[in-house]
Amino acid sequence: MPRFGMLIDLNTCIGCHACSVACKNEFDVPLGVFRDTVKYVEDGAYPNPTRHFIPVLCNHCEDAPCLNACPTDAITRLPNGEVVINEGDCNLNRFCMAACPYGAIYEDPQTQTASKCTFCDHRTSQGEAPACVEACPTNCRIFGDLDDPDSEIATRMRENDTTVWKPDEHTAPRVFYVDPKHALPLIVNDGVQVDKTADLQDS
Amino acid sequence: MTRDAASPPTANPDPTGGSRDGWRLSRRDLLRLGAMAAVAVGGVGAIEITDRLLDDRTGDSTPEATRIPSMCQMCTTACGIIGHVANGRLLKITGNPKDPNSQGAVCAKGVAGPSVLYDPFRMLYPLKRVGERGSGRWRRITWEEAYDEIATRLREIRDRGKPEEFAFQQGRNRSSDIVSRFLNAYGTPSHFNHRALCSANRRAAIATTIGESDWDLGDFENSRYVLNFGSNWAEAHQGHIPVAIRMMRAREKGARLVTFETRMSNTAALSDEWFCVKPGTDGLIALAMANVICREGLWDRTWLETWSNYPPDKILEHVAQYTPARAEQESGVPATTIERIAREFAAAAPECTTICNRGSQAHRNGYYNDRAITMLNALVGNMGKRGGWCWHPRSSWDKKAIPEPEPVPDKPTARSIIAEAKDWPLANAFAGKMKVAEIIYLWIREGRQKISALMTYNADTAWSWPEAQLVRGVLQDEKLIPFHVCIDVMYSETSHLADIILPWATYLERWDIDARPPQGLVDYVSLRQPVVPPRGESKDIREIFPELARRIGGGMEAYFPWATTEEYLEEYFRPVPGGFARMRADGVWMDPTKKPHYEPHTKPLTAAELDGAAEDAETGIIYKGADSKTGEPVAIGIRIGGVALRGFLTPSRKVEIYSDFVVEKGKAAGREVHPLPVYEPIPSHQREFPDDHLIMTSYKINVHNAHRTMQSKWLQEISHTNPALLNRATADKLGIGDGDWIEVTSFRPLDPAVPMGDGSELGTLRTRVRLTEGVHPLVIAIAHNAGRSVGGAYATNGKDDAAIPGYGEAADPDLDRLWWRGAISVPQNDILPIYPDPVAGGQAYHDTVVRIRKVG
Amino acid sequence: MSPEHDAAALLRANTAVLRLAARLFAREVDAPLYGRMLATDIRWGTGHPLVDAPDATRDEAVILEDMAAEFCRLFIGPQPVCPPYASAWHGEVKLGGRPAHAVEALMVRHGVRPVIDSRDAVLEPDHISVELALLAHFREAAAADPTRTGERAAVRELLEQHIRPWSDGFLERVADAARMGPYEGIAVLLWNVLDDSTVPTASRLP
Repeated sequence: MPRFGMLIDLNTCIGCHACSVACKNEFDVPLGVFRDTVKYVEDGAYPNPTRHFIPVLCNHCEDAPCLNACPTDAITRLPNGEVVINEGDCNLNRFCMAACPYGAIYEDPQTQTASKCTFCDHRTSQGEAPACVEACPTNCRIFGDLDDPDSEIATRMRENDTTVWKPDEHTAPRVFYVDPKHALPLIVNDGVQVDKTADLQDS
Repeated sequence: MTRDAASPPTANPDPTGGSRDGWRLSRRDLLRLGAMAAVAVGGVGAIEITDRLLDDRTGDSTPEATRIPSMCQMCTTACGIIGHVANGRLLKITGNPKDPNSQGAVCAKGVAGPSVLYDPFRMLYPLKRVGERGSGRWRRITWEEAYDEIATRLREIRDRGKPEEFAFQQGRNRSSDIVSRFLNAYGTPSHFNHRALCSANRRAAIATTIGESDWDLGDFENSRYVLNFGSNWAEAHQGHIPVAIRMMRAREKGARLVTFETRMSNTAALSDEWFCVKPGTDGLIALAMANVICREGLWDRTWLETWSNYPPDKILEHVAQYTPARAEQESGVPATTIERIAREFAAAAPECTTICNRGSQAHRNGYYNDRAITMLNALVGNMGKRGGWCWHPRSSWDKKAIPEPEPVPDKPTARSIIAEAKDWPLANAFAGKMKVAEIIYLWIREGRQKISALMTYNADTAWSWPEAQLVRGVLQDEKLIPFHVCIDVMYSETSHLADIILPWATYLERWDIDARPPQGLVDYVSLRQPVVPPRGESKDIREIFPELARRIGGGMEAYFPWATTEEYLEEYFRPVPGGFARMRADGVWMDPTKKPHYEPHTKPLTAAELDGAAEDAETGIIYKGADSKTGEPVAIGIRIGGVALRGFLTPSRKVEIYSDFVVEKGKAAGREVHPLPVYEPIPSHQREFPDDHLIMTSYKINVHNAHRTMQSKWLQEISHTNPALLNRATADKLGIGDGDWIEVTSFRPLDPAVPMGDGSELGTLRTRVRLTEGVHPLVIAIAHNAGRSVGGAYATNGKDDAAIPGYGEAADPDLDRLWWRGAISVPQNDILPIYPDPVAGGQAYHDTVVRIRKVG
Repeated sequence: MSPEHDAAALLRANTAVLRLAARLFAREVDAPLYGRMLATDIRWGTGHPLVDAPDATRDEAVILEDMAAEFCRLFIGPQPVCPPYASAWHGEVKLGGRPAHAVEALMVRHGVRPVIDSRDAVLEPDHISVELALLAHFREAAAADPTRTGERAAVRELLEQHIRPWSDGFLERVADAARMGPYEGIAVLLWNVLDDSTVPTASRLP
């Protein structure tokens, strides 16, 4: 049984958002809620500031707070490890949203249930890559079987130092990052859901 | 419920009070009314429901998707794509791995294609205005009515013998074959483009230097050091994705990416090092680097002695004045840094290259900046080499091998003073006529050329042009523009000022033969084909122009003998092995016998080529035959070291560090043009600015292009705001905090070489400030991919809602999804002065002097 | 009048309004339709006519052009005030999509399809006019033979899943935004016939 995971190499992410839009298209994700976004984090001072691009999504944690928190057992784990929400069993109690440290879960305004990234199990079960992985122009997102030593993801994990988002939460994420510039800790009060209050208003 | 007092009269005052009180009818009323409704609707065509099914209906609910190769056109880069279609519906877009440029990669804009194709607010029916131009009132007309009116108007102009009075304004045009065919058959030279707003200065600089091309194609993938002057290839640049993927591959092999920028673009951020520069000083930094390379002997002297038309020692002499200290003083980059980067660049040669575009050349001194930057490559001898600074003679497909089907109309004999733009010596001096877009509407207003009909095509000049309000004024004026047809996909400021709107098919619904400058240095040809049939009544110009030509008549129809576009393309692609069918299956073809265009100048001339050739003993230039038009002998090569080689396609057959050609062109236009790369300081910047005066720059955002993308809800959701970026220290000095409101007042340059260059105030914008570490202290940076006021609520952050007559005020549940309603979004072009580089005419986007003032 | 006769008359009234509404939301009012509406003097609310008659200040050609501009402003665009598609109403990014597929699936299941005139501005099956035409069709079929449960189920599905989720809001917006022409009136009339209580018992949902 494959143990699916994802690796994102921040060395070659150009912050283009192809992944985010591919995800929106794949699932008709409504405006205002997000399964995958690219965080832009600025750091440093003039004249040498920098900006990091960090694609984030549900981490399909091996110790998933959402799964543990759901009182209606609407959140389950598929055989390959994907953490998924069964909309039929969801009564929108929102315990999962409160439990998730990554802001990966949102309320779908059309189904009025909790919803999030599924690791595109409808595609991976057909041998296709997830939509975000397929869309990335620089191939900085790798998806595959962590337990297959010949898989690209396992090889890259061996060859690089990798890290996870918010390791202090001890959620054992299945999404790993090659993050030599230590960008992940710079995402502070922000999660997968975009801060919709951040814009300056015109009046 | 409000009713606009100016709206057409109505006899139905509101009985419902805005809710459904009083809506309920009695059973008796309903019976009576229904009976009458039956009479009314009987036989006048409601939608019939039938059980007579068509043959192609299947009960299969999840068929395999068909993959249709095509080309994107969400931006200029035109990457190869695959449309995945099932049941006639486009499911998604991925990249076409066969495209030699993008090699299967796409960006967010490409992936967002379905959001444009199925946009609920696409214009899908021909519309004609009702009432005054610009009132926003429209009604549907049939294509027959549209064709009839347009053809009648155009025929009248042509029959009067004044074809130049029909002006065609294009934005992004990837269908140049059909456009030129139509306009040339008509006989109008008034074919207006946008090139001067884009890359004119750079193209002129490159063409001056190497002749064969006006577009550089650094061999980034094989490069060890990339020196970037202001290009934002990670977000924009005509090469965008094809360049970005190669840069990342180079990075994976250990290449160093160094960027000079006025603002922390994504490209600057992901570079290994980036340096913040004062706008317009990139050329000076390049000259200072040249100074270091020359004086420290880091050049490839042998290469220079062979290939430069100006001796190395004289180059050294010329750049001696451009010391790193001087560059530091003007640009802000430390002299030690300039020296270090110059040495690193030279040390990596020949596997090093520069890259640049608008950051260095969209300036008043852009032409000279890019001459200087281009020269760096000659100095270190990387030109044409693997990993170096390369180019290709073709900016699209090989038009000799795959020629346009005959009969091809001749170019017009009529003249357009606006297209010729003679005030700018290099605007039309090279093979690619660039023109000077930013002066078009000014010159129309000044009465320099009479326009009787204007057709705008995929262009939103009324919003995206510098001094956009001037353009709007001209378009609004029926004396200046008696007739305006707009061909576009989405409503815009420009279509708002049209008389007839023709709904244009999106790139996903039409045909093109197309190709882009090849990053892999081998030209290719590609096909854009419909992945779905055109929706609604939208049409492409490949259908519109032949029909108009037939109706205008007078011989035009002879140039459109093909019954369908497919028939035309069938003929066009005949030289390709497998022809049109193969193109439809693969989307791309590349000649497998062609080799990458490395060092073309070193190619020896063949015996056949030399047969009958004559040689100039002094210059070594080899001539054969004579030019059919001028009678001048045609150069075919040059003898170097005793061997007859092809050389560069310049007058000297060498790299023209020194150009007599441009000096002569300058004289003809009454302008002094320097033969060597120089630093020409921007006149308006050569004074001590008061504290509240800054330089306004413009910039692009990766998910948007100039006018076509803001209606895409997915892209607009990601980026929809353009607050003014200010350096934190500058803001502190002025007492401005993050989020504060400011007024930005722009000034025309005080510059006699620029139209209207009297230093007067141009306009004021009210906007809000974002403080950042990532912008030069003298700069206020505003993105120009925001600020629309027409185009629907999503594109305008809710502004295009109730204000414009024709749109009802409505409580729109849709707009609950518009979570970014009200985000600050300002039209920078309204305060951006017309500001052409005096030599090549390219618009200065980053030189505007402004005064800022905190307001309440 | 017998209950059967009464029910039949009510059904005819019901489906006529559905069809008139379908026609009015799909295409501009042309001269023949205008003439018929004037001649039959349909009224709504507290006696308002559906369309204005020509008078000294406005002749028929002017009124027809005004109504064409109004149709365009409300339903065509640019930026239609009341885009007549369920998918647009639900704020979907792409027109058609799931709501259109669902209507298509219903039509496939019942072996029917719409015949759309080339002048109808109807792009997808989730256009209100297609849904209304289907409703009229199935209501008549169900009334003609009460044993045909398929048609009754189709009526229920159309109302519950395809029309009612957005029709109240859509019709309110049409009535609110319309400045002239038959659009406010037809919105009120249509709202009435979509209300189940006006449907004859034989055609009512179980």
